[in-house]
Amino acid sequence: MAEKSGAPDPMHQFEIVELVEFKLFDLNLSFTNSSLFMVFSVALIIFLTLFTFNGRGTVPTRLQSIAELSYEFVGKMVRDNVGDEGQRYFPFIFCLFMFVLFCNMLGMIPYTFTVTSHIIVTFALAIVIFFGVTVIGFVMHGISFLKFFVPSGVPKALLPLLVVIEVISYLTRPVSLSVRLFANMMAGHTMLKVFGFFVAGMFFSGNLFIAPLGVAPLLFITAFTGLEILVAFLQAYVFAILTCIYLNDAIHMH
Amino acid sequence: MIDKNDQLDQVAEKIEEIKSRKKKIDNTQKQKRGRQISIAMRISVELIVSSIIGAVLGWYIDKWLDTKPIFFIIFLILGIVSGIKTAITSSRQLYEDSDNN
Repeated sequence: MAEKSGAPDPMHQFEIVELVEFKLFDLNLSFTNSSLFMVFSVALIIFLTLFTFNGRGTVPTRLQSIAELSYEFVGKMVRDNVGDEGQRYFPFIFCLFMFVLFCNMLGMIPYTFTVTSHIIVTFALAIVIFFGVTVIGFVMHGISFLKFFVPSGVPKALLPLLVVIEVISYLTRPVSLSVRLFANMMAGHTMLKVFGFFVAGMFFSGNLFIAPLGVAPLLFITAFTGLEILVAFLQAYVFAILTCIYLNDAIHMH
Repeated sequence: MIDKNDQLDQVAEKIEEIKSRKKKIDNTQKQKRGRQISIAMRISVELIVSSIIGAVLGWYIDKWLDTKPIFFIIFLILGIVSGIKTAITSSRQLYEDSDNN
């Protein structure tokens, strides 16, 4: 569409392309560029955590210490936010953090596809967390987990209203978790593209006054790329830590 | 020989001094800051999303019961209230975090 009008389209980078078509009845199960980059990030994580360790050496290799650092980082996060009971869920949180982090970081490389800029991907992650946390709550507390929705110490007349409010705020969790990650990633990448077009458009405008001014968006985009890398890390961190907080709510209740 | 040892001691002292300067922000505080950022992010997004969730819920209840605007309005208000409630509880968490620094 963009090519026809001649204007560059900053949303083009989010387009899903079917690489290997595969249709099962009405389901489109094609292997897309999104799936490809998910496979990439998973492969990178597996490489980082399994194959960088030098078995006998006392001094860790560089990649090995990255793997160890991330392990300790997530371990401390789980310990601080969930407590000792949370250690059981450490593998899940670690996988989640690494997956989101690698998807975000891979997206920062030019010409790659950012998996987490699609709300369906982040929502799928969030809904798994949502149901997982709810199931954990019911398993640990039985039916009394429903007390989670009943705030203590309020007059009985207000109770139905407050229960509805609690339920809404509980239902908000998966949506807010997914929207936050998706919106941050998509907005950042769109912004980068838009300013990239400014740079190209101004430098090649052929106007002697406008062309040198193209340095300004170029400087901006350079700084903004740094910020985007920070956001990519921070959003993965926030995603993981909020999962911890939700898990903590389910395990310890109020 | 003695001179060299003195020099080494001086260097060691300098290293210690620089190390102590750097200790000011230790790891736990960094983690705490990350947690605070997460809670702030939670407040900002959940405030908006919960009102949207309330509105959507109300919209579908209306569609189901055929009572056009009533539940939409009620649930929109409840959604906004629940967003504020989340903000209050989360900010309490923030306060407790900063308390025992």
